[in-house]
Amino acid sequence: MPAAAHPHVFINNKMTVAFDAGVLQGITFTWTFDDMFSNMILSDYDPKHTGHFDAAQAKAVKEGAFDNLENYHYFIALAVGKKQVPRFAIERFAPGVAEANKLTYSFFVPLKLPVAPVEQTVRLTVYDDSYYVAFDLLHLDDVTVQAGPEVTCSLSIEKTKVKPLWPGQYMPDQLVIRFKGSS
Amino acid sequence: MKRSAFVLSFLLLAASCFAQVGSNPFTARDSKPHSEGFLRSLTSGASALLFNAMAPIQKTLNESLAAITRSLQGSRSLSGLLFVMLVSLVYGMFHAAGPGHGKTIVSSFFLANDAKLRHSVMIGYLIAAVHALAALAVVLILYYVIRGLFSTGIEQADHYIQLGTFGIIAVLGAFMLVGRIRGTGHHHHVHAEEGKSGLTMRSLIGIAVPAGVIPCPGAVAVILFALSLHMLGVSVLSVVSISLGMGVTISVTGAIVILAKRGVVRAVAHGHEERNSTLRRIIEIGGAGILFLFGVVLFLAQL
Repeated sequence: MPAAAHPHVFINNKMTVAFDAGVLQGITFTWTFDDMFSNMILSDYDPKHTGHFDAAQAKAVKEGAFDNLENYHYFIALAVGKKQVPRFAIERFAPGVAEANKLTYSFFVPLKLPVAPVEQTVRLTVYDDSYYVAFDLLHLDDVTVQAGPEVTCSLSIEKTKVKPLWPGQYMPDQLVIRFKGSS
Repeated sequence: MKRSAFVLSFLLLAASCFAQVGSNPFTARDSKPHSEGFLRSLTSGASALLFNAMAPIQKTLNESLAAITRSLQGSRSLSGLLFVMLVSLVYGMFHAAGPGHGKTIVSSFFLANDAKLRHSVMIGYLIAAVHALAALAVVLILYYVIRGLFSTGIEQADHYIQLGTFGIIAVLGAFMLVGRIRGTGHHHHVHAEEGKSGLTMRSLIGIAVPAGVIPCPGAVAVILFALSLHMLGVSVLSVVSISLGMGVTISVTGAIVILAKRGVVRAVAHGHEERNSTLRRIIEIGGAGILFLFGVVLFLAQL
């Protein structure tokens, strides 16, 4: 059963938008967790406090403390143009330990969108509407673009265009990625 | 003025009815995707305003609690311990401020019963005591006795505790509903029998146990954090303070409900004794009905 009243897990989310060979390959997400959640997962899956996960431990973390997020779309809402992406794959999941014993998750969401002369748009929000997890507010500083000179890419943070069901309803901001081939 | 206060508290109550207590999305084993229905988005939006305003404050509190606990590892100063208690208290107050099962249970209980303001204070203390004991018991057993994967263990323990709790709530609500519809236990009779209010210590404890026994994942994480730094005493101190903070918030909510109920009866009835008691009865049946439905819905959700 999902949903709780108040955030119990706090996450700082950083994103890398990667272009390669004239294609928007996808987005890498790097989540850094709060001390308490980090402590729980690290004591369970890295009991000897080695500061890193070996392959077996990483697999255990994935199965024990990540895979269930599929039921939450990994808290990611993704739209290409005006079309919502209902399902997406998760690749290269890797748990890690950052400074001050903080747990990190990093994973890649492939998009495989060829860059065209016409501008294309990808919009995304990272938000848990069940309130169990609170993500830090979206900042452009937290987003990196990897692209060669053949791609023109611009980032912005915009209010969602979805019509609220009642006045004043909270809608998380979205990251908007606009890209096209450089002329 | 009083009517708007009533409407406001009722809306809050209604919103909190849809806030289910839940498992950690990371470590749970959900059998189906998280729902995104119309009702869900409506209610999640409603509470999101509050949630998003408070989230950064809670993150700061969470971080400072971790930092202070860590700093106490070397030297346990009195001021440090007091600081842990203070931050925990505030953390608990904020933590209970979002919509949750504790406030829903207490609010509908106070709607269903003829309660005095002091009852809302008492229930706050009782819930704090129940919650601190339950959270400590669950974590200590998992940590020292069962010793498996904690994140998986707490998920399973939570499931059974919630199943039991909501079952009890549904049964309590059903009894209360039948009682209110039949008119037994109605305040007039009770006034005659007991002289004062119909609420006994036993019935307060009866509602404080299901309202407080589900360990808050936040409190669980705090205890575990201190334990993993080998600080059992600090973890006890911290969870007692968190529970007290939660108790304060729940007391305030209870008091609002009691005052709103009183105010609305007074405003609508204008001193007509008959209208007064009819309205009171409707509110009490409504409160018992909410409690019953809340218990049933969340019990079924746990199956």
